[in-house]
Amino acid sequence: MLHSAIVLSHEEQRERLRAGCPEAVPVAHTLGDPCADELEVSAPFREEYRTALGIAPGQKLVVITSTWGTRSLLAQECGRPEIRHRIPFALVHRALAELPRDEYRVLAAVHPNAWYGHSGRQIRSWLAPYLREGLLLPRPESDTWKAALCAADVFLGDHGSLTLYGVRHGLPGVLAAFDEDTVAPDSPMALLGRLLPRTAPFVPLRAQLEGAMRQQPGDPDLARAAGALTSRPGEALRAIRALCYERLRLPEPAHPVHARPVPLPPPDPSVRTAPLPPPVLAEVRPVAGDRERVRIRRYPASLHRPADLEPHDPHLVVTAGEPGPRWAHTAEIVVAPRAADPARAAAELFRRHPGCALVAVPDPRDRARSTLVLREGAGHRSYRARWENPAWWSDTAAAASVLYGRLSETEDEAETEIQAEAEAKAKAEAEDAVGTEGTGAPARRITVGIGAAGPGRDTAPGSVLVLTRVAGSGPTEVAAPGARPVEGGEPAQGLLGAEAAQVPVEGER
Amino acid sequence: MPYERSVLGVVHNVTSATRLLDILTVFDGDPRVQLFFTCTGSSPFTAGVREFAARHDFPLIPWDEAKEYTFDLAVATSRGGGLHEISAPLIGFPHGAGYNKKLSRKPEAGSRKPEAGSRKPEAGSRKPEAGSRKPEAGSRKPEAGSLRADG
Repeated sequence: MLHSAIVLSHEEQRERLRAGCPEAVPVAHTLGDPCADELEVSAPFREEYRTALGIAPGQKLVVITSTWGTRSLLAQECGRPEIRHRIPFALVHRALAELPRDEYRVLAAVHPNAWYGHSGRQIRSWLAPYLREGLLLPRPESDTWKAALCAADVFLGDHGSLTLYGVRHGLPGVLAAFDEDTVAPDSPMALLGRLLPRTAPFVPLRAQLEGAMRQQPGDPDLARAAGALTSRPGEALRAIRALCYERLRLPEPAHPVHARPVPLPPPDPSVRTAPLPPPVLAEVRPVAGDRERVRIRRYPASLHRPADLEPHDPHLVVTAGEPGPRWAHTAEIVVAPRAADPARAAAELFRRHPGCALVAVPDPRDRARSTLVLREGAGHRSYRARWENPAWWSDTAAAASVLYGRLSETEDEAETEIQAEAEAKAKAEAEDAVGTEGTGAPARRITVGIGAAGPGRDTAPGSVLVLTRVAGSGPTEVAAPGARPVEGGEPAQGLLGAEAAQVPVEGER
Repeated sequence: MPYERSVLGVVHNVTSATRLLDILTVFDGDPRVQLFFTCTGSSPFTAGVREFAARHDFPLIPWDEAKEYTFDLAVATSRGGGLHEISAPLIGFPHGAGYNKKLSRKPEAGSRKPEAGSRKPEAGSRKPEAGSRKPEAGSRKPEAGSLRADG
C-alpha cells in the first residue's frame, strides 16, 4: 500500500473510491475541506475584503475563475458573425467591455498551472488591455482568490475548483466553459455543470449576471450541490491535525486548532496606474421618463466594437492629453486639467479637438465642482456643475456627460429647455431690475445614478448634480424659473429640500 | 533547534503547494515538529515552484536527496511522481475541492491522479520548463543540518 492514509473531503467520495480503487477504501479518512472552512469563517468580513480590494460601496464584484487547459474559461475565444476576427480571453473581454465600469469591478482568478505554465509576465501581457481598464489580476498562489470570493457578488466560472467554492460560498454564478470530458460524471462538479446556467453569446452579459444574482440565491439544488464539498463543515483542521499527530505518535498540542479568516489581500505591487483615465463611452438616460433623474453608464472605449451589445447611444469622453488619435479626434467631451481660468482652458482645448462639443474643467480646489463649457457656434456657453453628495463615480467627466446627455435629447425636450431658458432670462432681467444681483440662480438639479431603474428594483444612493448656467463670458449669471438669489452662488436650500437624493438602481443588494 | 519528528511536505506544483501550506498549518506552534519540503518534478507544471518556495521562505530538498532520508510523516496534495520512493507514512489529500476529475487510466494503488499524466499544458508553443527550470537545480540544502537520516 502506497498511502498510509487517503483523505476525503466528503463521505460521498468513499463510494466513488470504492468503485475506482477499492483497495484504498480501508485507509480513506473523511476529514472535510479546510478551504471551505476558511471561506466560511471569512464570510463575516466581506466589507473588509472589498475595501482591501478597492471595491467601492455599491459596486458589484465579478470574479472570473479559470482553471487551466484548452477547455478552461480563459482559453475561450469569442466571435460574432459580424466580427471577422476572433477575440481571445472572450469572457474577460466581455466582462470588461459590457459591464458598466462604475457599477462593476472584475477580478480574474487564474489557475496557478496556467499562470506558471506561461509565466505571470506573459499572462499580464496577454491581459494588458484589460488591466488598463481596471481588471484585478492577483497572483494565483496568494490567498487573494479566497478574499475575492468573499468580496464577490457573482462569478463567471468553469469546471475548476473555484466554481465549487464560489457556489459553496453562496455566490450566484454562470459557467462560461465546462469540460465534460474530464469531469467525473458522478462528481459534485458534474452536478454543478448541470445546474448552473451557461453564458449565452448573444445576450448582454450584464443581463445574464443579473439573472443569476436574482434567481440563484436560495436555490435548493445549488445548496445541495455545494453541500457535497465537505461532510465535516468547520472541522477539517481539527480532524487533519488529529490524523497527522496520530501518525507521528505524538500527543496533539494543547492549543485548539480551527479555521481562521483569510488574510486581507495586500496591495498588488504589479498594478500600474496611468496619469490619465482611459477613454470611456458614456450613456445617459432618463429614469422612468423623469428628466430630472438620469442614469449614467460608462464603458471602456478601447474595448468597444460596433457589434457590442451595449452601450446603445454613447458619447465619447477623453481626458486632455489622450495619446490615442482615434479617441482624441472623435471625442464629444474633453476633460481638461484643473484650471483656474476655465474659459481659457476650454478655448485652447476646443482648438486642439475640433470635433469636441464640450470641455469640462475641474475646479482646482474642489473635486465636486467643475465648469462645463459648450461649444456654441464660434462662442461658448458655460455651466457650473457641482455634485452635492459626491460618490466615487461622480467626477467631472460624469457631470459633463449628464449635461451632454441632457442637451442631446429629442428636439421636443430641447425646445422645452429653450423655453425654460427664455423664461429664466426674463426672470433674471426682472431681478436685475429690482436690484437683486444674480449671485447664484438658475439651478437645475438632476439626480444621477449609475444603475438601471425599474419597478421592483432595489435602490442605491444617487448623487445630485446642480447645474448653474453662467451667462456669456462675463461674471453675471442668468436666473432660471423659480430660482432665488442666495449667498455663495448656490441655489437656495429651499429649492433643494424637496428633492430626494436617491435614484433607483437595479440589482443592488 | 532539536525536534522530535520530521514531516515532509511533497510539492508537485504551485497548486498543490498552496494547498499543502494550508494543511501544514496544523503544525503551527509546535517545536517538536520540523517541516521539510521537496518537489517531485513529475508534474508538467513545476514552473514557479522554486519561486513559490522562495516567496514562502522554505527550502526544497532535492528529490534524490529526499529519497535517502526517512521521515516520520509525508504529506502530499497531489499524486504521482514516485511518491512510493519516499520513506515515510504518507497522507494524501485532495488538491482541489474534493475529487472531481475522471480517472484517466487504471490508477496505481491508492492513487487518483488528478493531473492525468497524459495531458499536456495548454501552451502548445511553450512547454513548461521541465529540465531547464527544475526546482532542484542549484537549490539550497535544507538549513536544518541535523536532518536525521535514521528517522
